Amino acid sequence: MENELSIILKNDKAGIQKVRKGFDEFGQSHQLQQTVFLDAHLVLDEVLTNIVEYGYDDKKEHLIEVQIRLYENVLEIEIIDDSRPFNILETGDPDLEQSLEEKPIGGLGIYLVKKLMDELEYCRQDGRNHLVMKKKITVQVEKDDQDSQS
Amino acid sequence: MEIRETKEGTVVVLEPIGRLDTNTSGEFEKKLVELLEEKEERFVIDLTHIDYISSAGLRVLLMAAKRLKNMNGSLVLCSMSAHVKEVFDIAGFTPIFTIVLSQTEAIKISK
Repeated sequence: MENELSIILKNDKAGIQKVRKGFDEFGQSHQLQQTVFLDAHLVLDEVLTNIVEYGYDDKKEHLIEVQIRLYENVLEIEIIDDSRPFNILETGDPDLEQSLEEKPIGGLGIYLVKKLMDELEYCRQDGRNHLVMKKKITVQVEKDDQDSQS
Repeated sequence: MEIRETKEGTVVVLEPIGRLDTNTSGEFEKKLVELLEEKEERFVIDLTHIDYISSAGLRVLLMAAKRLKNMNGSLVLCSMSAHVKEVFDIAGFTPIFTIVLSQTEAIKISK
């Protein structure tokens, strides 16, 4: 069974907030597993903020499309935008071993996306970035599961 | 965003409510900076009511930690949800912060 949410937003903070609200409703009405819901909010925040803040060289209005597809065992989030080419899979990872003094402030957001999502796919098509992020939804354990012995 | 603020002796206890994401982190940063400029040096940030924290929120906490370290102050985080703790672990932030389970413990070690 598939359930979908599609949102088109402008490349600004209000647009990102629109996505947060839309996904809040979607998550609640579909009773999405809490960890999946929170991870999805986080990656939406990171990717959309990245696009809005760093993706464009001009001051023009651009549109970004967010498609969310809920399947029985996986949540898929696709983000389509016409900002400059950005393949998340090709970014280097920040050095996490650094001490407090040395720690840089940047690079974390995209790293969190790579670590929290189970699968990432990227392609550039017709002048647009297409990023698909997938998060598995774990199967609910039955209460009378044979493994549970008290 | 709502940020509950109390003072326990010399320790400022902040309890932000909701999410520490790109939208709300600016306000939280402003509150922290305000208090730092009032020369507050001992902070407890109680994360009981934080659903999730994105890199923007992590950056604010990092900024506060760096400043407090330079002032010989202290920052203790407490009451993280499992999800917030997971993000801290992934980001490599867990070793550089003092993180405890309860606010009581956090206040105790801040004094």
